[in-house]
Amino acid sequence: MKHAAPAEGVFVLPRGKGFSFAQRVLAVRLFALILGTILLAWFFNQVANRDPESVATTNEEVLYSSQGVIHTFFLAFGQSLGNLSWTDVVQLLTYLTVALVMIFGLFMPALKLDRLIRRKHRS
Amino acid sequence: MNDHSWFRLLVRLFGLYLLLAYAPELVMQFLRPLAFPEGYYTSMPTPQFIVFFVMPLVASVLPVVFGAYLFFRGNKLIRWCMRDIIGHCPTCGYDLRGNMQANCPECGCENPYRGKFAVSKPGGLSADASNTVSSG
Repeated sequence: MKHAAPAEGVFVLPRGKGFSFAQRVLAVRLFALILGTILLAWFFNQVANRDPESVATTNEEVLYSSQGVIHTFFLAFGQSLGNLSWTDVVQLLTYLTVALVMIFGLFMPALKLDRLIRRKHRS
Repeated sequence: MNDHSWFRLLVRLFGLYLLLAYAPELVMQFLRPLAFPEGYYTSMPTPQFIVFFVMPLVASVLPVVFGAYLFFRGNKLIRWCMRDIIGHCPTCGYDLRGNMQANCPECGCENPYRGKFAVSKPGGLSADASNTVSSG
């Protein structure tokens, strides 16, 4: 969408070139939606794709089988998280933070978002 | 509303991308127990079963479901993304709700919402009266 042309006879102050208000806000929201979704999906994939050998021994399987499904899930999930290296943790937390920032960025009011985008262009 | 059709199109394309990218993985998650049945059906629910079958399944189900929603329905999310753009000047962002003028008082562009938000505001001011106050 291009800038809407001003009506005939209306004097318009020059406001610079570039994208319109709606374009800026929608583009940033679309970017946040895409990046947030992809990073969240990537995060869950990374957590799920852990080394299967080190999750539980056979004895632990018997132990876990005797407990509830929910309890077993959190134990197993904690163990899979425990298999992450420090590098993995830093990477995962970084991307998770970016994903959450993106998702919460969708809730920002349009005018505030637009001011944020255009702040560096102001004198 | 047609001015924002590019946004709708891109959201639908993103939904299609999610479907194409994660649906094969989801199918593979269902086929994997068929290829290695002894590892999955002996002692459920073991940690192995939960972490290495349920978790990847969830991780691939969620993007597929979200992608299908964006591609086939998604109107609610699109409307939510445009919640505070509708009623504002598409060029400068000036609040045009209740504004009966033909042009935006801020930038002079055509008012696309003329007469569409003509409701009386709280405090007894009609739309025209509030316009007079705000533009004056």
